[in-house]
Formats: sequence, structure tokens, C-alpha cells
Amino acid sequence: MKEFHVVGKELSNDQAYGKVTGRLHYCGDETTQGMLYMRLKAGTVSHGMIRSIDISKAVQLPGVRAVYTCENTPDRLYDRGRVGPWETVPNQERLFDRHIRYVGERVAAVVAVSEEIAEQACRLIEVEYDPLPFVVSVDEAEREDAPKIHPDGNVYECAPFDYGDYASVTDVLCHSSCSHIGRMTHLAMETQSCRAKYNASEKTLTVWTGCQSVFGVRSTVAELLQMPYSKVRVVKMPMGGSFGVRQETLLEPLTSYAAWDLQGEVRLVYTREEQIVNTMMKHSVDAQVKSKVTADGVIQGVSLSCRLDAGAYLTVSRDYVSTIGEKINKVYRIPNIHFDGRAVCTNTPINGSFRSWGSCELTLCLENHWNMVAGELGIDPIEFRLKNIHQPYDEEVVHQVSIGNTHFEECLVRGREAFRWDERKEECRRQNEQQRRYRYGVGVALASHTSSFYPYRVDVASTNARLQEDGSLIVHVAVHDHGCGTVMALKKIASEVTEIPLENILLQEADTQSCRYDHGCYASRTVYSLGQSVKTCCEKLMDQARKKAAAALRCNENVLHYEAGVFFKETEKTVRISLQEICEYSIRVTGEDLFCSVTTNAAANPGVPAAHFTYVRVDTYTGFTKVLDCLSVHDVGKAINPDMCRGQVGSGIQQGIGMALCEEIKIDPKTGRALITNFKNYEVANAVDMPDYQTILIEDPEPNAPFGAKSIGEVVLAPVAPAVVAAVNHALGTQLRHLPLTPAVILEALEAQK
Amino acid sequence: MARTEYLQPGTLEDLKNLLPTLPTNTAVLAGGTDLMPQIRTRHPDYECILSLWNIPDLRVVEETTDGYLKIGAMVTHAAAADNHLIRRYFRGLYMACSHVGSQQVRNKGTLGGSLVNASPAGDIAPCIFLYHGQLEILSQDGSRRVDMDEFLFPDGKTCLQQGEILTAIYLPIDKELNSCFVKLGSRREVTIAQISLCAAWKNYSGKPEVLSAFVGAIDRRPCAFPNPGLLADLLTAEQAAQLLADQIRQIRLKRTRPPKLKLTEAEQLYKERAAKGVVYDVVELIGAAEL
Repeated sequence: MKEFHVVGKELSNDQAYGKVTGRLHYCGDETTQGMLYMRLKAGTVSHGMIRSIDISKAVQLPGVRAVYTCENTPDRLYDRGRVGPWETVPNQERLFDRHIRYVGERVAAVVAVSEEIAEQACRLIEVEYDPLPFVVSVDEAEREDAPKIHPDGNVYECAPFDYGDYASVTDVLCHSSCSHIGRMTHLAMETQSCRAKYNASEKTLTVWTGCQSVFGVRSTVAELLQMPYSKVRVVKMPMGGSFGVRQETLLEPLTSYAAWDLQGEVRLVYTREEQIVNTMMKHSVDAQVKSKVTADGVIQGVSLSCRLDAGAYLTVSRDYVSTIGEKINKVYRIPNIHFDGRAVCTNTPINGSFRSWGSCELTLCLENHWNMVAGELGIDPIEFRLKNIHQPYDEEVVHQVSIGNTHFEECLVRGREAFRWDERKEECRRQNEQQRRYRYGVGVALASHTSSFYPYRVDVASTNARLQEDGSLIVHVAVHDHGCGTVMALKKIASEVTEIPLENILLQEADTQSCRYDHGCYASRTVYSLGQSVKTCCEKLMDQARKKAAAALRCNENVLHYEAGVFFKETEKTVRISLQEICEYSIRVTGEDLFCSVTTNAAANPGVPAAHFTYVRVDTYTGFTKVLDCLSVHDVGKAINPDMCRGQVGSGIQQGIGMALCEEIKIDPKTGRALITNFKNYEVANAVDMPDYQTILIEDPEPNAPFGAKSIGEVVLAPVAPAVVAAVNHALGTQLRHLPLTPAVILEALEAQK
Repeated sequence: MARTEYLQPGTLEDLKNLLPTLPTNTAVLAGGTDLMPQIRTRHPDYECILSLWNIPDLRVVEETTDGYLKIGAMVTHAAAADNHLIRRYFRGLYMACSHVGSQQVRNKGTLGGSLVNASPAGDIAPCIFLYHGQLEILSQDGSRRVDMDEFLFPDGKTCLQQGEILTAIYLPIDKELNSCFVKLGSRREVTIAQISLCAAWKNYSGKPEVLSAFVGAIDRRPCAFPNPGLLADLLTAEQAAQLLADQIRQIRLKRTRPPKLKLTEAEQLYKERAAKGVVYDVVELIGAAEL
């Protein structure tokens, strides 16, 4: 096999140095002369109409430049979730609405010469409300007589999906389980920030934002301001983590509006409280899974019904429900499937995009179920899975496309051995026999995810590559690095193809002015889709360079070899020409710039099998669960950057443990207010709680993928929580599936066992 | 915006001279681990912030001639956890200081700040009760020493008046005394106590006798453990756990409403159910120390 130069080598994220030394500037670090600062005022009612809003004191405060409310901003609806003008998500949001739908919703904004003044002015704004009846729980919101939050009601069904005929399956054992996932916050280290500048002479607007889709932001902002798309430039800024929270257009419309209105430059940076309450949370999910399985453990059918709490605005929630259904057949061969789901609006903070978009929710509900079924049938959970998993190149029935070169079996078998699954299970049994304070358990779960948009959306990825006069390379591709090193991955792909050293390659992130169209970096498509685009573009550029080299050396291009930036004749090695010389020849002799621009469309969406194995200890006196050891096995095709893959695995484990055991944004049942708005009260698994995790990367290259690479960034989360849940249930002999399994929940369950 | 005066005396004498001049709404800045978040989120209108950060005398840890260990109020949790005298004589306090908040909070937060802030979940106050410590309070009239009972009232408020500053903690040294501190938080580290339990004991004929124990975070101020003798032996641990659970239940029943983050019954009953965990932890520590 060909030895790669940089692909597969462990090189750190090229932003790491800037991040640890503070030299990399996030949007919130940027200040310019004359820049103005925005702060927001939050509403205080669960549901109501603004009767009056008195800004007189605020506008008089020295240093205040503008105060915006529903009374002086356009009554124009927009949607935060769309990426292009062709999308049909209902527009429900305004810059400011007289109708307030949850505690904490923005009711006014102040722009001033400093953040402090803007904040002080916000406190001087007086708002009076006419309260409306409201609903906090999904159960209440679904009732026919429930107060309507939007004119079209509270419940948004998504189209059910059926494959085969679940209802008609007979002569099998029926099982049923319910799972619940609580609301979570994304925990991105950097809070949301945006800077916008209006150039009155050019009539152009530039927006700097750490986002996942510059073209999506541009679409929303341009249409809100009724500006041509060509006059709105959106530049992706460094991002201190997303986990989905930067997928939607949140701060940009308001910041842009203020910059446009004041014909100046305005910056808005969220506080941590705003980050939690005013972006979006992870949906709370209730799901019922029913299955029909033969006595020897072969799945004959599955039916999944789920209900998501959308919060006060629907935003992306109906799509989110659909996505759960669309992913239902990525792991197991199931001949009969039924799926239905709905999103329900409540007078609570908005829920929306979260890492893995449905995969972690689906996996949690299904894997909880399969672990229960395996237990009821008396079959080892790994054996149960081995009977049912997809084989390489199986067709998944929802989209009727191949799952690609996937290795579920290898994930399970190699993981079982490396984790000493059978021995550990026996050890747990022996330890638990003594019924002491600590109980031990093991758990496993299996997941998959996407690598592109195909086929539910045409996957468009474009790259421009320009060889520079000194032989270095500039690549433009609309990549949005979430902080996890995708820029480095794409640079490595470019370097591998061109053999130009990494330090001589500039790969610029998304910018609507210099990059060609891209939907955005989500669905874990960056390396697979954009990587293939970069690879193809660089290959074509090198073809051009080869042709120029042949012309310059007056030989047939087929006799030329290429190595480390130099073309040469194999038979006459002194006949050679470097990239720098090719560039000079091209410009000065043939009069052509050496560049290439390609668009590729991913025509496959290979799955990324991921198995997670975990070993826990539960303290039956305090209810605490400690993950003692865990292993993630990931079929990645090819790890472009193995150390960053392992870093992603660690982050998935950390977030999955949080989802399973401790993370939850609690909502006040009386008002719908978020009760947890800071990290003091938000319980996350911290460094001390993290086990020394092991990672196995299975590398069998995926065809038509850049050097065989598939995705990893989101799937790492999906199997973790259900494996932890299974381990806790194994330890305690319980059937807990209502997350998070906090110490209080565990002691309650033990109390019930008495 | 209103101006806030910032004062940072460099000596105790300077501090004392400033005290009568301070406006009523003065905030005292010790480590700032509570004050700074409060200023950021609640925007109190302080006319003056008085920083104690630059007074070296407030950071001293020393044995006094009358048999006490004097710990300056501005000694940080990290410094206390690293101090050989505290480690030698007051292991429980050392254990408490080692697990306050995060490393960053321990580097800035001070023992005096913790006591004055008087959070019911504070880790330092139960230890000062345990050791029958005294507190030194400075005012324009000079210094006075009060017992912990006089410093921290049952309603959780301190006795400090306008113009008074906590300057030191005095703990009586008893070389025979051993002690420990455990807490049950929401996780292992960087956590706020839900229940803390500290105990002090001496060995008599090779057997520990627990003289005193205090429980933190279950009421507005630390409570004496009803029957500390039960903590000396694994055989009586279950009974001790039951006692503590009953004590927590009584306090819960007296509350007019549950804490705002405890929404479910399981959460409201958690402390009394989990009491067993801290009791057994302490019993095991006492047992292990005996060896």
C-alpha cells in the first residue's frame, strides 16, 4: 500500500497554538475603532403581549446610540434554520415580537459605545405585558383546549414512515420500552458572537460570525434587510466549539439590522446565560419503541413513536423529528419498520440543532430497547446484535441507498475482545453477588451516522485552488471548522495530493465572497464531501501543472514523474521543473494563471459504525455512577488525523456520559423558565469523571472517499449514553431509561427495589 | 455610570484606619470567587470595594503562644491545603480545603471569605465548629475574638457589623486529636456540597473515640451530629446513618418550600437517602486512621 506523506500522521490542529496562546481571535475578541456594542433585554413572562415598552430613560443615557424593540423594527418574519431561500420551514421569528412566548425571550436591544452602558440602558427599559395563558409541558400543549402559541397550533406532525408491514408480523415475541432524554445545553466554550459592519458608500454589509453555514446566514440576513445577496458578505470566524449550536442563524439578523440601521459596526456577544437560554437547547425526547423479535433473537420488526419538545418556536424541530426516522435503518437489518413523530411547541426556551441531529436520540431509544430485549430473551447483547446487524454494502431501506463499506461486525467482535467483555461480565456477576455497597455493570451500544447529505439533499461541495508564484498554494473551500481540526484535515488532503508542504498551504475557511456555494458544515460531511472536493480540485490542478511542465520541458506529459514539488523525466532526472518554475512559465510564457475550480457532488453516504463498551461502578449508598473504563470502536474508513479522531472520541464520551448521568437543563414547571443558566448548576462530566478511554479505529478505505475517509465528529456521541444506561441497569438489575440517571434517580430506583 | 471607589490597604493598620470611613454599601473583596460573579450578574450598586488582597498579615499561618493555630482570613484554600501545620493538626480542614470548588477557585478563594459569605453549603464553617475555633474581628476600636456560635447565627447570618472585618481564625491545637472531612456533592470534584460531614476523634487504648462531628449543607448553618460516638465503629454505622437521615428529614419537613432545583420527590428526598454514603465514608476513614 502506498505510504502517505501526511494523511494518517498525527499532526495537531493547526489552530491549537493560537488557541492556547490566546493569539487566535474569536469574534468576541475583535474590536475596531468606532465599533458599537449591543446588549439584549430579556422578557419576564411565560406568554403574553407587550402592552407598552418605555425606552425613554434608556435612550437618554449618555453613550446609547439606539434602542430597538418591536415598535421600531420591521414586522418581518424569518426562519433561523434555513440554509437557502428554497427551504420551506415556517417563518415564525421576528427581530422583536410583541407576542412573547417564553421567559427570557428578547424584548429589546440597546446599542451603545460600550457593553456596560448598553447593559445599563437595558435595565432602564420598562416593559408591561398582558399575560396570556401558557403551557409548559408537552402533555398540556398537546391537549385540544391548550392555549395556542402560534396561529397554526402547537403540534407539528411529521409524515410517518412505513417499510414492510409492522402490524402484520406474527408468531414473534413483542417487546415495548419507553425512553426519555432531558434537555441539554451544547457546552460550547465560546459563547455566541457576531460582528456586522455596514459600508454606506458601497451599500454592502459584512458579517463576521462563528457559524456553520455562511450561505445560510447570508440568505436570512439579506432577505431580512432586503439586500441583494451579492452585497452581503458573511465570513466564518474561529469557533470555540459548536455541537450544533452554531448551525442556526441566531445573532446575525439583529446585529446586521443594527449595523445597517446605524450605518456602522456593531458587535453582540452572548453571556453564558443567553447562550443557554437564547440559542437553543437539545430537545427533550419521549419515545416509545415496540419490536417483534423471534425467540432466538432475530428482529422482525420495529415501531418507533417519538415526541420532541420544540420549545416556543418550531424552528428546525419538525425536520429534526423526520431525521430521527430517516436514520432508523442504518444499523440493523429490519424487514418491517414503522416510524411516526411530532414536535410540540411549549412556552419554554427553544430547542433545536444538536450534535448528531437525531442519531444520539434514535440510538438511545433503540439501543435501550435492544438491550432490554436481549436481556428478556437471555441472549448476550453483543450476540443479539451480531444476529441483526447490516453487512457491508447492505441497502438501508429508508432512502434505498447502500450503507457503503461498513464493518459493524468487526466493531463488535474486536471491541468484545479488547474490552474483555465476557470476563468483565462474569467479574460483575461475582462482585454483585455479595450485595455490597458498590455494584458493577457492563454495557454496550451500537450506532451509525451520515457522511454526507446524499441522497436527501444534493450534496454540493466546491473548491478553488490557486498555485502561487512561489509554488505555494491557496485553497478556498467553504469549510466551517468547529474547532476540531477540519481545516487541518483538508489541508492534509491538499498536501497529500500536491506534495506541497503543509506550511506552504493556506486553506481559507468559508467566506461568501471568496468561496463558492456550500450548504454548510453539518451532517458530519466535511471530510467526506468537502475533502473529496479538495482532493479532486488539487488533482486537477496538478494535471494542469503536469501539462505545463511537459510543455516547458518539451516532452510528453506521460513520461513525467512528480515528487515533492518537482516534475522530472524518469529516464533523465536532470530534466526537471519545480512548481515555482511551472508557475513562472505559465504566467510569463503561456500567459495563464494556474488555478482550478471544481464542484463535486457526493453520490453516496457511507455509514460509520461505532460500538461503545463501558464498565461502571454504582454506589448504592449515594447513587453515584462512576465510569471505570470504556472503549469506543469506530469504523472511519481512514483516519486523516488519528489523534484528532481520538480527541473527538473523548468528547463524545464526555458528552454521552453527561447525557446518561447528569446533564439536564431543568425547566420550572410553574413558569417554563430555564432554572439552570450557568455552569455552576449545570452538571457535566468533568475531567476527573472521565475514564481512561480506549479507542480502536477500524480503517478499511471507503471507495470514492478522500483517501478512504468517512466521518467521525458526531457519531462519537451516539452510542455512549445507551451503553452507560445498559451498564447501570446491568449493575443494579433495573430497567431505567428516563435520563439522566442522576444519583437521586438511582436511589429512587433502589428504594423501589426494596 | 456611578463611580465605585476601589480601596486596597497594604497593612492592617491602614485597614483599621479606613474602617470608620467606609460607606454603608461597601463590598469587601477577599478572593472574589463569590463577589465577582455577583457583580457580573446582579450589578449591585457598590459605592466602594475594599480589597484585602494586599495585606500580608492576613495570609499568615502560625502557632500562637497560647496554643492556637492562627490562620489569616486571607489564606486561600490552596495555601491552607498546602500548609504543613494545618495538615498536621487539622486534617479535616485540610481535606475540606483540598476539595473546595475547582483548582482556580482554591487559588483565589479564602477561608475568611468562605466564612463571611456563610453559604449553607460552605465547606469551612463545619470544620471551625468541629475544632471549637474562634474568629478574630477587627473594627476601629480594635480586635475581638468570638466563638463560631457567636459568629454564625442559626439563621445563617454572621455577627459582622458595618465597619467590621474578619481577620483571622484561631483553632486550639490538640496534638492527640485526629479529624476528617468528607462531602457528597453532585460529582467528585468541582462540586458544591449537598452534605458534608466532619468528625474529630482521639484514640484511647487503640480504639477511636469520636468526640464531635458536624454536618454541613443540610441547614442554614452547620449542625452538630447527634451521636458522634456511633461513627467510631462499622457496627454502629447503620444506626449513625439512620440518625443523620432522620436529622435531614426533620429539617426538610420544616422547610416551607423545597429548593428551586429539586423538582421531583426523588430529588427532595435525596439527601436523607444518601446520608448513608457520607456516614460510611467517615466511619471508614476513622477505621483506616486507627491502623
